Amino acid sequence: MTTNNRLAQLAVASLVFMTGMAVADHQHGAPQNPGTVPASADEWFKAGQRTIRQNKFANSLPNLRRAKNVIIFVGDGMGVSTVTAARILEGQQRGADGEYNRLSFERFPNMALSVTASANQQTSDSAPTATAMVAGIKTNDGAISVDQAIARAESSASVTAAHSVKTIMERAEERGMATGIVTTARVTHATPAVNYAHISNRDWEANNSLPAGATVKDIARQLIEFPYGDGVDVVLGGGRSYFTPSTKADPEYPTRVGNRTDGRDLTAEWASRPGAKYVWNKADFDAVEPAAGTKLLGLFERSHVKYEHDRATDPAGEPSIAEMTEKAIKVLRRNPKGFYLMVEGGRIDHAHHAGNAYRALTDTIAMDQAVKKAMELTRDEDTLIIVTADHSHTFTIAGYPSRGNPILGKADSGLGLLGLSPLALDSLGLPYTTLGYQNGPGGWTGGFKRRELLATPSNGGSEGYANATYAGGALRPDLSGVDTANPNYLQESAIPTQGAETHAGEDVGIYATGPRAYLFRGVMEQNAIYHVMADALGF
Amino acid sequence: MPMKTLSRMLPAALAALQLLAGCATVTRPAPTPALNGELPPVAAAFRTRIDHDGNSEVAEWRYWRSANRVQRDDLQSQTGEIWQRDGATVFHTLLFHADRRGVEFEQADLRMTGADSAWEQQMQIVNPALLKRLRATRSGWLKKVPYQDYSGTVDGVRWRVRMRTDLMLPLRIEQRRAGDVLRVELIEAHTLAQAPWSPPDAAGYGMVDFADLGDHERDPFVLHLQAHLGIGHGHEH
Repeated sequence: MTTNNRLAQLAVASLVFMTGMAVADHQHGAPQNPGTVPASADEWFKAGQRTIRQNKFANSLPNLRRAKNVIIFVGDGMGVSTVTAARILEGQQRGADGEYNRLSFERFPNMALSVTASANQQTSDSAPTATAMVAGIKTNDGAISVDQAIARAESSASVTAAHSVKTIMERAEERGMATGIVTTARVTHATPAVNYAHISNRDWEANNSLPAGATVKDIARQLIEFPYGDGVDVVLGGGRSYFTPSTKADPEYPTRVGNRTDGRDLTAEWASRPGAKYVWNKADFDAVEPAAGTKLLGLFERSHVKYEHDRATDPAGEPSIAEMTEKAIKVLRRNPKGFYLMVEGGRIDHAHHAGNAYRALTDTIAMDQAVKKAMELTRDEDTLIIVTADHSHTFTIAGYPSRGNPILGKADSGLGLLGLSPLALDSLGLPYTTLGYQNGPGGWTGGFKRRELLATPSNGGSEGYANATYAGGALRPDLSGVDTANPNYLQESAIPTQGAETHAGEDVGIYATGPRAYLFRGVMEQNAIYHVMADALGF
Repeated sequence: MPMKTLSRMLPAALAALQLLAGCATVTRPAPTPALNGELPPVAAAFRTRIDHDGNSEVAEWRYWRSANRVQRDDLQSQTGEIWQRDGATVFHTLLFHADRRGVEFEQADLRMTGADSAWEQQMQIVNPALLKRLRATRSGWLKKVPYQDYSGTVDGVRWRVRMRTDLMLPLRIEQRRAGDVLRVELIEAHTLAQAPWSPPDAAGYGMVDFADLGDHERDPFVLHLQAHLGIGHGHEH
């Protein structure tokens, strides 16, 4: 009987496959509630069975349709440990069981691991990894949609053109589709830039950073002068100063000026086009009514937009990544030929570099809100949604904390009721946090003591940074009285890298739903992501 | 103008007038320190000496202060910094003159590096919050300059501070902690308009955001910065 059942399922699946029928034609809805946390062996067993039933019947049939739309979410630096910790934090913030919680994209039916090594790096930066995702090739560090044969400092426009690789956004524009970018970083930063720019050095974001004699256009200019189709339709994020001249005061911070030394105001050039709008604050953003032909540029900060935790303090107001995503989709979906949209949670990476887990996780949760919004506004039958990361970070979840222990807190021992220390203690007898970094600017172990605010000659005054002395000559700070859940707390790291914590080289997850999402399986090179998108769109 | 604001401004204005005219007398009471008050624009030079484990380090540095901007420059290390206030937002820039490069910090970066209260400190070198935690002792006039002394121990650090109350700048700071001694001494002070030196112009410097340092893993300048940047959990000074 069991064998017969299996055969029947296989037959149905084969029929669907052969005829090209699509599976469930439904809107991406809110993720299913996984239910309450099992409280007994029997409940755990049944929960496991439910998962398998769901995979057999709901998730096992491939969606073979062509995609009309593709949305790719890139959590910059959102490694697997970041996703896990964000899942726990998000659940705990709602008073739910964090470990049993899932972010919305973690319930997507298809998943794979992405190998992030670039053509010349074991652990990569965002430029080649993002290039891999949107252009289908692997390239070198710092390279923005150019191949690995180009020199890092190549400043010739013609040489750069010869090494350029066509991107998914360019192909979409050639097809007459609408295209857009949403990011919490500068729109000229590596991950968004790979969609529309071709340049050997990711740092050449405005003309003032180009080397003398360079003929290649800076990244901001390449966005405004994008030659494919009718140009990029929606661009929302930060980086205003890279588009405005050094003679023009910033509208939000009047003491500051733009970066450009060529006298061009690229925001004004954008706004001069038919149907084009340029906004730089929340009120103007909210006032934009999506209409056919709308071209929207929103630059809400001089550089990166605020971390989600700090967004409420912005003088002019900033839309959240979910609000930007919603606006972008509502503009782009007016094109009957479909759209391509990249959404980047760009500041997850920055918070990790600073060794600050709180902002990394809250920005991950904010990006998850954007994924939810995209699911609400699109349909599974015609929209491929991919959520992935460009690379990981050295972020870890360690110790043996009890289930439900605050994820931003100190690891507990589970032995408090026995009269022992309620906190887990290290070999020095000191408590430690569950979250930490292998390297970074936070407190250091191994005898190289963390620098504390103190005086140095170079800052000349009564405050600065100097090596701190920990009580009793310990190798680590005593965190007993430290609020490690404070949003500004920097988790400890084993290796001191004062400027920034580094990326990490392990694989990252790819989560997908919609047409051709079933093509994500196993361990895939990162550049295969492009090929799934291209396949789904019929390129 | 509200009386409170006027009363805060008067001592500083009077002191500035005395500075210009050089007509202060020792019989008059010294101006009340205007902690968190409006501060006159100044240019000044300081000398810092640190004694640590039998070794001494000495540095001279210059300081320019206007209503919404502080710039300081270390002559020996050819480094400097700018603190710029724009409404409720404070920007901080570290300058490396030899490289013609700089690092820009935004407010969240300052919060994470424990420097979010640094604006007040930059404006008068010693954080007014620290002065409030110290005991005000002697006040008076010294060479026609009004001063107020402070002393006390905060978080294990022993402090002796003499503030020049007309400019709200330290005449000297002494800080002792675990055998280390730091002394800061005011060498000269001028009104900003009459400053004998101008702050270095950083307009053409290549800037990198603090948030972007992690993505410049092969930039020699950023690698060099590893030795200069220190990040810790802030505490009050």
